[in-house]
Amino acid sequence: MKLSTQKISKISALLTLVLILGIIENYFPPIIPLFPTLKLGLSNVIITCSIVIAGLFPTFIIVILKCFVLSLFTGNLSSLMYSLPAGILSLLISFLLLKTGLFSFPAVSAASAGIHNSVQIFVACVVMQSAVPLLYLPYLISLGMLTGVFTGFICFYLLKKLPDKFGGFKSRFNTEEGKAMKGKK
Amino acid sequence: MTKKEKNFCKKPFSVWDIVIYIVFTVFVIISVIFVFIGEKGNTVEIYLDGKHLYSFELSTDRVIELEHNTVVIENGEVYISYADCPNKICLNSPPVSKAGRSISCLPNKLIVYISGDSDYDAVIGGGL
Ligand SMILES: [Zn+2]
Repeated sequence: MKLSTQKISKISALLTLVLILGIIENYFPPIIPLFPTLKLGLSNVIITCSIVIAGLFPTFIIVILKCFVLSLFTGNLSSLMYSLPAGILSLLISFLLLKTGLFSFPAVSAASAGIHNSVQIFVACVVMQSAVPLLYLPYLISLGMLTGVFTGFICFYLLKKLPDKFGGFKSRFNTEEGKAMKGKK
Repeated sequence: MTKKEKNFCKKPFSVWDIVIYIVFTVFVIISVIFVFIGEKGNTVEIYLDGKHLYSFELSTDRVIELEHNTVVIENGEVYISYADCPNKICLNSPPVSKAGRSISCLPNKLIVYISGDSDYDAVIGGGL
């Protein structure tokens, strides 16, 4: 895939937003001390939007760079073991669910956050050679779904309000609003 | 993404969402069942560097001070109260009480394992 200048600048703009949110989140205490990389997932708003705005491959780059930069920022490289598989798998899940065109943003990001948290727990099981982290599954899947629905709503309204030239709904899809926009021009 | 109108750009909810919510609710129910199954253990086995060091009654409260860790048995639960390891995963582990579950401190090669009465636990809970 060829990366045009436009695409590169789009990726860097989105990555900056993701990193800012990620770094802000980093100052919140971990929800559960056993999983220090597990956060509320504010930056998932941008990542889910990015799938729609920029596509799968650019978002993949954003997720990987986010994991690396945040682990350097926190000085904890071993956190990559948790954040990379969780980030990549939840990205693929959201992409596939969005691709079907059946589900809404809150549901997609709920599923994505649920998968994200579960993967972190499975990695913890492998790292600790113990099934004890599994005890957190019900709590963390439910929590992921709640925060996922919340970020999904933000995502929806963000894309709805996004101007035409930045790739919001209006330009991409034949929604009524989109048609109205085109009529105005 | 195609030009076809997708559900996600119309409304922040869709009938199909129910599928996702049901699937994840089932996950939560299964994992809640996992949390509550398992019988209470009765013996705390402490392994260091693969060797069996001690066995203690789970029902008797005590504090076991090892070279790098302190293991506490309290109210039928076991947890680690002190560790000099770098990652402190063992300190953050939740207390365990059911047969077949364990807490480990991999940097210090410590495994605290809870065994139960039956052989069933030894088979099923071996890895837990
Ligand atoms: Zn430890």
